[in-house]
Amino acid sequence: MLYCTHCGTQNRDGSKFCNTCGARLAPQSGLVCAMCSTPNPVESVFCVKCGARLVPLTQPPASDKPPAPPPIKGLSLPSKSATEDKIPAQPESPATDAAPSDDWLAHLRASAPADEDQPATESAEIFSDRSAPAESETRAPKIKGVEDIPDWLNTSTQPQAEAAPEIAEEKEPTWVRQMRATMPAEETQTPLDEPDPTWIRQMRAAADQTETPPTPEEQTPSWIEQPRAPIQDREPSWLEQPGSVAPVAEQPRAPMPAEPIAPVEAEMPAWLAQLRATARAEESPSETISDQAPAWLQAAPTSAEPPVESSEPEIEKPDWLTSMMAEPAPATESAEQASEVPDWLRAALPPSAEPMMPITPQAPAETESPSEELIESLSALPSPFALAEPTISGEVEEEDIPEWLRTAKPAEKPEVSMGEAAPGIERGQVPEWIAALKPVETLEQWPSETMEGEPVETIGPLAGMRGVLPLANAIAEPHILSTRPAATPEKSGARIFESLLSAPAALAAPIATKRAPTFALGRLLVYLLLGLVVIAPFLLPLDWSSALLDISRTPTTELYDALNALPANSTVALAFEYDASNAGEMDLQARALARHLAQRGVRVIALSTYDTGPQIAQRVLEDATRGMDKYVYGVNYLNAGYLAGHEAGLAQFATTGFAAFARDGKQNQPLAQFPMMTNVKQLRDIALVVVVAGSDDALKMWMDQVQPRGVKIAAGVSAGGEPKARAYRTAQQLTALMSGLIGAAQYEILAGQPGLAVISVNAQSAAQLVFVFLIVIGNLVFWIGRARSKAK
Amino acid sequence: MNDLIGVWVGAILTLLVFSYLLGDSPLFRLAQAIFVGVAVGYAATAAIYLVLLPKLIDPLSADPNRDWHLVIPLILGLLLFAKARASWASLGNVPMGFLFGVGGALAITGALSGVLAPQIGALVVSLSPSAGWDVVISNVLMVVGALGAFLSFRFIIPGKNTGARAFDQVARGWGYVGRWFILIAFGAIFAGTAASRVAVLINRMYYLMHDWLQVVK
Repeated sequence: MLYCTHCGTQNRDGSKFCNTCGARLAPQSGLVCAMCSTPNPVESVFCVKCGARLVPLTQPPASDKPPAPPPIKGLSLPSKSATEDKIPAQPESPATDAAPSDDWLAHLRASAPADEDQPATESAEIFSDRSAPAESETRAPKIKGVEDIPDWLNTSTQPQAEAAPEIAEEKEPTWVRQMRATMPAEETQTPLDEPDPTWIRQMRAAADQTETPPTPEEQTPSWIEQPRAPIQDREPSWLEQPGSVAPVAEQPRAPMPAEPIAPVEAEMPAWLAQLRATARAEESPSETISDQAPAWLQAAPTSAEPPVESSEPEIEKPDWLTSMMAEPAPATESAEQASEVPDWLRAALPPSAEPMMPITPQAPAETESPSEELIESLSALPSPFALAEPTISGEVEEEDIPEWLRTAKPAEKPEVSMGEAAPGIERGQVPEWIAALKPVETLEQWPSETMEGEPVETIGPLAGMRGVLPLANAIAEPHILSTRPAATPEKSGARIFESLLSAPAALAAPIATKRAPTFALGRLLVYLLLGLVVIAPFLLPLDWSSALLDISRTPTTELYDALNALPANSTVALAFEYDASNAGEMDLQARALARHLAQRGVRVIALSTYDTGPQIAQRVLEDATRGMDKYVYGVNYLNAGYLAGHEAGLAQFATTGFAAFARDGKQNQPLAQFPMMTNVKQLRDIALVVVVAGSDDALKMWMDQVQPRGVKIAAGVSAGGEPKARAYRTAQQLTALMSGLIGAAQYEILAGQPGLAVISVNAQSAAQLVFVFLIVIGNLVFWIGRARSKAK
Repeated sequence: MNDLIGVWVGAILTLLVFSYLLGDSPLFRLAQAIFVGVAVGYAATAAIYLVLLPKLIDPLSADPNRDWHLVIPLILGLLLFAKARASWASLGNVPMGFLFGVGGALAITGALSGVLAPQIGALVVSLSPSAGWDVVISNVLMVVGALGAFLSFRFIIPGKNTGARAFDQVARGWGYVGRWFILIAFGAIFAGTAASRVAVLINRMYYLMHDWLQVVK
């Protein structure tokens, strides 16, 4: 909690103004790290940010007084609060609030007896914090060169000088006066009109110059010398000699030795030795070069000289390493920034800030404290790791290569390229097309980071370095065999193919409907020739075909004989199994058969499984019986009509006989009413079934459903159905067979009544001759044309 | 007069059909439509007056007690109309199944008894010279051709033993011969069909010249 110095109200930690009166609260007391200016709690011993020790390991001064209690934690070297600079100047000085501040002084008075024996440095801390508000006013017109002075010096000197006249003596607590009395006379008697001590003025003057003059020890205020007194006996000589601390700006940025503090451990103060000890764990186990002073401090003056005169042992270095070590550019800039840091602060630089780790050089940013500037400037030094990568460029000589790498060097192989012929191999053995197929080896982008776990060089100039030759990266880089880049002709072909695929499909060219005139003319000629040949037999009195017809020992003769052998008054079933499409051929057969049967007095019952069959049958029967007055319908012949159901109807007919028929095909009367049907009921009452079939399927139905029941069947088929019908005749399933127009003509001749069938055969014979002629002519034209095409 | 009109109508329709020789034309399409329409109309009329009325309606209306069994085909026939509606189509499967079942049974039994058995028996022929050399040669050709036609449809992977290989070689050669018999039979069928079409042409030409033009007696 914070107590307001004006009204005494308790405020929360971190408050800047009082909650009650609005007065500015005194900054929270704490420790500001001298290295990084980070505020730390009062009880801290080490900085929470950089780990630097905040409380020096000092011994109480040897005096007659009884030993003082251990110093209060958090009180160390006078420093300035980091938040103090950010506090705006108050309109009224806190000095005028001395009376109200008696309360907190009274609060502190209770512990005053215990604090009386504290070192002066702690008192200075108190004064510094107490006079902080007034300091902001007086520091407003800052004197040139003051900004170069470390902040802790500003907070420890100016406030003291200004606060002295402001604090009235009568208002001072007793314990304060006692503590002031213990301070050196030089400090207490400092004139108020000289705010800056002499040593500060000298330092300011030195800051105006490029080089920093050595700080004379005699000009150091006594109050600041007094705290150093207890450790002055153990202070090393190099720290006392002003000239030993060279200006940082002149320090070259050569690599610093790994262990600079070990040789001077005996002469170092305890607190510095402890700081070094905490950082030792982070340092590399490099050997110490100097035994008189810290290596980095020792290297500072000598590094300004040529590298040959460096205190480091002369090691044979490759040229490339030497050239890279001589880079001064970033070091100079950093050195200028580091020159603002006092020497004693450099001495307290924690070893952790030494550039022993590979730090990537960065642009110098605006730092908050000189120590950070120093760290960054030191980190800008060339690192051996930063120099490691260029060594793989192949410029390393044989003696510079580590031993392990020298032994692992592979045997050289003659590189044979496609363009050059290797010795012993003639060029041209590899065809170009194979060479074009050679895949291209590419390297994928691979991060060139230093891989962990790489071996550390043990011998040679690169000893102690890690990852000098990052072979692991080179091995880990993936080699990709890419496909052969497409050649220009292939690209053009692919482009054409892609354009064809992407182009909309063109509509197919319409088929030319206009036929060639020659073809149409030829077809018309064929039609005309065939028509003339068909008509001519009817117009010309020619009967040359009947003489050529052989009526002996033909199937038609067998049918004629079978019908001629039927007794009179027998009944024959004449099936008209064709329709109008075959009527021109089958009517001639049916008519010839019906006429023959009628002439012999055989009763005929016409039937059909075609719905048009009864009409055809009626027409054929009337035509065949024309002029036969004694051959009466219903008595001598009958049109039984249509037998529905095809195979099923035939199966029923084979089973039930003429009961399968309903009405006749002429008068639409029941069959039982006709006189000729009184004795005809079943198929066994039928002497013969003559099937006049226009197709083989119609005949097949009869042969499948009726013939197996023992019914005799004779057939007259079309010319096209003869090959299949002949099989039935060969198997003796058919009693007789007549086929086509030729069969009708034969039957007419056999019956002694040549008629239309015989005339039609003349026309058919002429037409067939035309067919043969056209086939021969067509084949001749084809073969001649083929021979001509082969000859060409 | 009726015959004259019928002859003219028949002659004109015949010429319209012949117009197809010069290419497809509306005249041919007109004749084709007329024939289709007449055929359908005639088929419907024949079905009604030659089948339904004399075989179903008349018997049922005359004496239902005697011909009550005709109700079954009536119901099956009515169920065929269910095919016209998709939701009732399953009802039409009953008469369709009946028709296919009866038709299949008749076809199979008829093929076995009317074609297969008699044709196999027809191959058992006499090769005795007493019947005449022409008959012997004809019988030999018939047997060889018939067996060759059967072997030409033999698609069997041959066996690995020697006998199977030998039989396969013989069967292949015999099947090749039988294939020629089949080709000759196809040629004969094509020639007969052509002859049939020529006979129809002759009939139509005779009709035009005799009945319509009356230039041929």
